[in-house]
Amino acid sequence: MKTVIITGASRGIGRHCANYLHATGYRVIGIARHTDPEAAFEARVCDVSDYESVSATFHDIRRDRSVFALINAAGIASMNLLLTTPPKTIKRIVETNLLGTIYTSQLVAPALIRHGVGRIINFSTIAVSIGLQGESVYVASKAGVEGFSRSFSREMAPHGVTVNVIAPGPVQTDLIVKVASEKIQAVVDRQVIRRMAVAEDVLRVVLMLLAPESNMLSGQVFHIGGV
Amino acid sequence: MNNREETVEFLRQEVSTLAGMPAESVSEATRLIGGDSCLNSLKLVELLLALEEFSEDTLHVRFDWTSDSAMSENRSIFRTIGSLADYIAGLSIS
Repeated sequence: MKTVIITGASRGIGRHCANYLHATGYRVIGIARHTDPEAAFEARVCDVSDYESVSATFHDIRRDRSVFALINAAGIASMNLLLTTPPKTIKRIVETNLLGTIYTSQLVAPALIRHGVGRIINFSTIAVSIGLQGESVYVASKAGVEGFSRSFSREMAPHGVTVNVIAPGPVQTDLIVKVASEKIQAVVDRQVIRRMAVAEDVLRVVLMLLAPESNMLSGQVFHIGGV
Repeated sequence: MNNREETVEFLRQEVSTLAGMPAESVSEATRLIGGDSCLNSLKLVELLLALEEFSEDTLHVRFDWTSDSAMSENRSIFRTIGSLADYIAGLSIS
């Protein structure tokens, strides 16, 4: 049985992917900041922005040759003008979105290399490509994820591990219920396909990247909705 | 054999296999990084993965390539078989 590690597995896109992959026969290790008693899969508590927490959480899987994929779905946003964003918030966004992705990638990579074939799927946003106003710190952290992934894909390619990024537009999940609908619509209107995505749209791209036939896809950013 | 000697011997055999060189031509002075290394980055990672398992299973020490102590050396611990074995032997003493 192949093992897939998913961060941000307690809600949103991460939860949707974790539930689907668990139900279709993968061993899923779901990572979240808080205990997740309702998870049907193996749930572990870890703060991805804390290197020691990530290291301790993944220590036992480092030599696990069943580990096939890492899906970094953990992420936070704060829709604010930069001029009114507290420094603690800036730090938290960058640490969770960018450093969290880097930490988990570094610490899970040995297991993927030992498996012989592997997938790392990171998450960005179309806000990077359109330079969305009022999201500068979030955009900066996700632009970092894209740059990191492009470079790291070259480091991992000789080991049979692909590294890609999924960059959706707004996705209908509980994470955006507090965002004003006109703000969301303004982003959707800048997509090639002018409709809001649902978690299923993201899952389809995840499944495409996990497929054995996708072993020539690496270092790419896949924009759901199109930009 | 002590831990250092065991590590040197392990590394010599691994490097010989990975680099396709006769074991007799691999020594403590064999370089692992830099322009005159006998290993490319792919092979170096394979060597470190094997050394990680050897350290835990045979020497019962944890070899963390990314630890501050590994990276803070003025000169990289990865430069030769001898320097890497020195580092591993230091772990076993501590």
